[in-house]
Amino acid sequence: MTAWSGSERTAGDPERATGTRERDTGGPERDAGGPDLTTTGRDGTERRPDAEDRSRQPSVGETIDRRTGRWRGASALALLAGAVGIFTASPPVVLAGVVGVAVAAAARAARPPKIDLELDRTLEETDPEPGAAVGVEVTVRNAGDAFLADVRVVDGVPPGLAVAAGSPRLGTALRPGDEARFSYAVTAARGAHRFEPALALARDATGAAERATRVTTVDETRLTCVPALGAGVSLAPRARTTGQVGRIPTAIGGPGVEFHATREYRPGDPLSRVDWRRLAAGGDLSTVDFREERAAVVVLLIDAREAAYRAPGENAESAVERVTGAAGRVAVGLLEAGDRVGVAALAPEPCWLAPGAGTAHRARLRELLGTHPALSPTPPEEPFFPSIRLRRLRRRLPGEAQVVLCSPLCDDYAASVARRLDAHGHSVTTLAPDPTVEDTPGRQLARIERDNRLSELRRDGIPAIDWAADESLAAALARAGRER
Amino acid sequence: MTGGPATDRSPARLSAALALGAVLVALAASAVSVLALLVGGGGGVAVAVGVLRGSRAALGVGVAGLFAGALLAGVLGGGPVRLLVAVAATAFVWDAGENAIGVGEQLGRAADTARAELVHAGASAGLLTTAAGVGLLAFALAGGGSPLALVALLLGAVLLVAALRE
Repeated sequence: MTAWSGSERTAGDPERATGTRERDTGGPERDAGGPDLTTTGRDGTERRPDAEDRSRQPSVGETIDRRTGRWRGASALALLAGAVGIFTASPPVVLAGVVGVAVAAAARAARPPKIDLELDRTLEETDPEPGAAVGVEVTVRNAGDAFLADVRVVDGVPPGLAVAAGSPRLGTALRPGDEARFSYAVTAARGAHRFEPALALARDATGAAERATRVTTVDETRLTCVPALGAGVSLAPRARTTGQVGRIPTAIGGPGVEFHATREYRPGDPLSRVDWRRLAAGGDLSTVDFREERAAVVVLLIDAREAAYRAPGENAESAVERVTGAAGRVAVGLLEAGDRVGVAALAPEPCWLAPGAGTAHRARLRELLGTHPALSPTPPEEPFFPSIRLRRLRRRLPGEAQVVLCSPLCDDYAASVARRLDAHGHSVTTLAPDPTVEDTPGRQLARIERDNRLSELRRDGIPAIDWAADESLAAALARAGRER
Repeated sequence: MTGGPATDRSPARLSAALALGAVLVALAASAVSVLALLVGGGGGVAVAVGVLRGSRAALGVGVAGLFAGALLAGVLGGGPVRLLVAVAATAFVWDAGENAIGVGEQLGRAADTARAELVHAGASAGLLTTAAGVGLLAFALAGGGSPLALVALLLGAVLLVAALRE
């Protein structure tokens, strides 16, 4: 489905992933990290930097040497000057070719400089609140003994973080032992983020030869941002309960609030439930039964496959991001009502938190929703095996557990999971954030397909809560409650 | 997420300004005839478009125009000094302009790149001045009929061969 604008983002990532894999295999002529200057040596056939080669970025431990070719044509212009000078018999014009020859010769003699950089990165704060601007200061030191006339450093900002102020890039010149400093700020977002090695690119003074490599810090820089679970919202579970007392009215008579039936008194019935009025009116001793209210076991199943990373716009929150925040609030609501809550994810990475209750469980829940790699803010790169994941999930689900499937329902697989789990006896409710937009015919089609998917689920008796992009979660749940 | 303003990838200001300054030098040096000035001026406009919009093609066309203007000036009677200054300035226009575009593409306007740009421009200026100086020396020596001119020409030929092996 390429119909959502968010898919541009997700579509770009797998490409990058395959690129990484290609990079890993590397070229046999590129000795990892070796200061081998003969790669483009004077006797070998020099590799012309084609488009693919020039945009290629080195992986960690790899060094790429390139000719930039920016002085290509200088010798041709020198010859042209010579020819014009000869034909017009004007010696100064012939002389002008000297400049072109000198430049071409200097470019020819250029060798990529040896990069020996030390990188030091400090964060203002490593556990910020979501949305906080976190200052990052990077110091680059030339630890080698060569003068770097033109060194460009691009810091490895984690893909899940956006730069809020400044620029994570620097262009400078460094004498041996010199250091340069630059700082920028990132906006903290949910997740456990790891800074990647910085990309360093050094050119010689003429700019004809360059070398690109990755520079790592001594210690890995991490930024962990765990949002609070938020205020609870009530998502009414479906009528499927455990033996424990809770809040879902059942068809079983017993203690409770709502009237169920009267029946003959049996020895041992609590005195408070004896129908004294009927006795006073001269009738028999009878007992009032109320509908018993019991607790539910709810497993929040978060769809975090690559197909779920859809957003209505370039900078909008993805469906996974919205759903993770919503899962926290739904979980709080359920826990406060006495239900037991667990979390699972449909993602390449296994993710399972067994249903439970209590303060410790709540903390575990917060930690998992905040930092679990399966729910990372960027789409997974590994392949997802649908049947294996679903089989494992079904083995783990307690028999009486209900499932709240949190998925944008942008493909048929998510809907089929809802149906299959429902068919296996787990009452399923779907909470579907809407990432669709209507600006192109393809996107309109995708929206219609998704609407149809929701309707079909409802027709099959599975409640589907459609959560629009500009709607609050509480409003969406309230609307769904009225419609049901 | 991927929020935040997109990086401004337009050419770096400092190098672009240096390139435009060098355009003026080249035009001033080739201002011996109206025709040369017109051809060079056309090139200068293309250079300006190239370094402001980040187009290497426009920059290349502009540099070719400046070069043609310089050669015309040489053919139409400009002295060797004017010609060498014009050609060296033209080479500098390409160097600074291309560097501005490259730095803009790779690092963006928001990054601090002044030091890299200045060192690069200084190195190029040094190289081009030396080349033009050597050329002028050779011309002066050849004009005097000195045998040193032969040595200088030989050296030039060696450099040319080295360059052409590329």
